[in-house]
Amino acid sequence: MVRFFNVSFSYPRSAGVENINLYVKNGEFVFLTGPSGAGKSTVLKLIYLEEFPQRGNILLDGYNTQEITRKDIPYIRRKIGMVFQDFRLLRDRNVFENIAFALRIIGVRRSRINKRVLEILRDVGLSHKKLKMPQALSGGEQQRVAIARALVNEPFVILADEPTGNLDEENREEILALLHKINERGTSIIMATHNYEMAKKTGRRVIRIDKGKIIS
Amino acid sequence: MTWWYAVREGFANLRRARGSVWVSIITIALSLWLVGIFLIGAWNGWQVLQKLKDKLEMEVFLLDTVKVQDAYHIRKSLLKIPGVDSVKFVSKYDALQKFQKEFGENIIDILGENPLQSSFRIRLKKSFHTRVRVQKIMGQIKKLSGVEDVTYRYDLLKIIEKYLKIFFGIGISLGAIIAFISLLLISNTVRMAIVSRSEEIKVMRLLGATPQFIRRPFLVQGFYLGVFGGILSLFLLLVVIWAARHELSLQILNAREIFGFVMGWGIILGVLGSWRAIGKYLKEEI
Ligand SMILES: Nc1ncnc2c1ncn2[C@@H]1O[C@H](COP(=O)(O)OP(=O)(O)OP(=O)(O)O)[C@@H](O)[C@H]1O
Ligand SMILES: [Mg+2]
Repeated sequence: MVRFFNVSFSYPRSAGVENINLYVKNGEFVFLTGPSGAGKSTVLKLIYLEEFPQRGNILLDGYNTQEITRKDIPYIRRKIGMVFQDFRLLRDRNVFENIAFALRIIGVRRSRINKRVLEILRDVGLSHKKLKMPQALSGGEQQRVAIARALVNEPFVILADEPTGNLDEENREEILALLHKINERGTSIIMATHNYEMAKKTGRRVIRIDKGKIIS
Repeated sequence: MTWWYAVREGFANLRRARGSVWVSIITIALSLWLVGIFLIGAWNGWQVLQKLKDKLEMEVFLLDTVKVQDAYHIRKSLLKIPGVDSVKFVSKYDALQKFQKEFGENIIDILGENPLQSSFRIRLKKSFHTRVRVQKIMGQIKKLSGVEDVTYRYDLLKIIEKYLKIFFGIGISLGAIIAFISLLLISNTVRMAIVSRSEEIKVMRLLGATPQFIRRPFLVQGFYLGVFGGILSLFLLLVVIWAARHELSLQILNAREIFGFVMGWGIILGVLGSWRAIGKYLKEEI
């Protein structure tokens, strides 16, 4: 569950978001749309605690931004999966290692890592590419690796910031389908995109944001 | 598990920036080497000083009027003074013979009488060779009847102490300067590792790695630099020790002490250096 109560946040020298109220239930799939600079990424940053509300507060699966300390942040992030337009994969290791990385850095045992990564690779349909380097994959495949990495910790929500922005039509559909499949298994998804039409077509809830405010 | 990660990644950091790693290791080694040499030198100087001090005697000259019987009583009183280790009587005839042996002249032929005085030669206990204590003992001796004068050779003691201090001072300041330089170089090496892994660090933060976990490989890297610097300086020191044994027959600290010192100091430098880099370039910007 992600819930915003009258959240305002602004960057030192430019507007951010103002008075955001938002409620995404567990298992929901919502789109966040709006023009460039509207504040979509800022809303996501507030959820994954890259930024903190200056007014109001956010509830995250039992955590309240008014109560958490710096020390809690890594542990909360482990329950939130992040996917970006530019994939953010590590270029010096293969697909398997990129996904395993998410487990290694939180101290999961080796045997468990192996099992879990192979499982997730199967889910995103990339078992046959596990030893390839990210650079050797297509954009769509790279994004699937990124999604696998976000998913491997079994987060309650996945935040996707323009995940199809760098992809062609075919890959875009594929990624969207993958996200739908993940959502059907119970993970909430919040996806930011400037493509209102695409969001609308899916029939899911669409939240429109402009100049830092929610307009519908 | 998480420690194993740090151990491996710390090592990977070393392989990534070999040039600066070598420079760091060599300067650590140099610093340790210098400190080690001065340590050995100072220790030997101190030993020499102790031996010289043991040899320094206090001389108590007796009045010509003192009879053998009185000399016996004076000796007894001398032995009662705290700090006095042994007392040896040298009669004026003994002194004369010694003089003749050393200079080959018969002064009785020249002067017509024996001008030398009977004396006691006193050896002090080890811990009483300080200025204050020597002065106190001399004061007590002067009060005894039959004693004309007491002498003790300070000058030699002073010279040795002075040179030892200078030597020690140079060693410490040189060691400190080089230690400081190696601290900067270590910190720079670790900084380069941090910069070259900044993408990875960003991803780690997003994926929920704790700050301690992110820092640890860099601390471990500094630790490695210290250990390798220590090992290298150990080899350099062994060369010096080997040469010293053959050429100068110096006494050397035992191997375990040197090893412990060099490794300990190396690790301190390495960890402090990386700590500095982490504090500067890996701040809490989670
Ligand atoms: N790190 C930052 N520092 C300063 N201002 C920022 C920063 N990030 C965003 N902004 C500003 O905050 C506002 C909202 O930006 P945000 O990135 O949330 O928009 P967006 O809806 O994600 O846009 P886009 O579709 O281009 O990604 C914009 O005016 C932007 O210039
Ligand atoms: Mg954005």
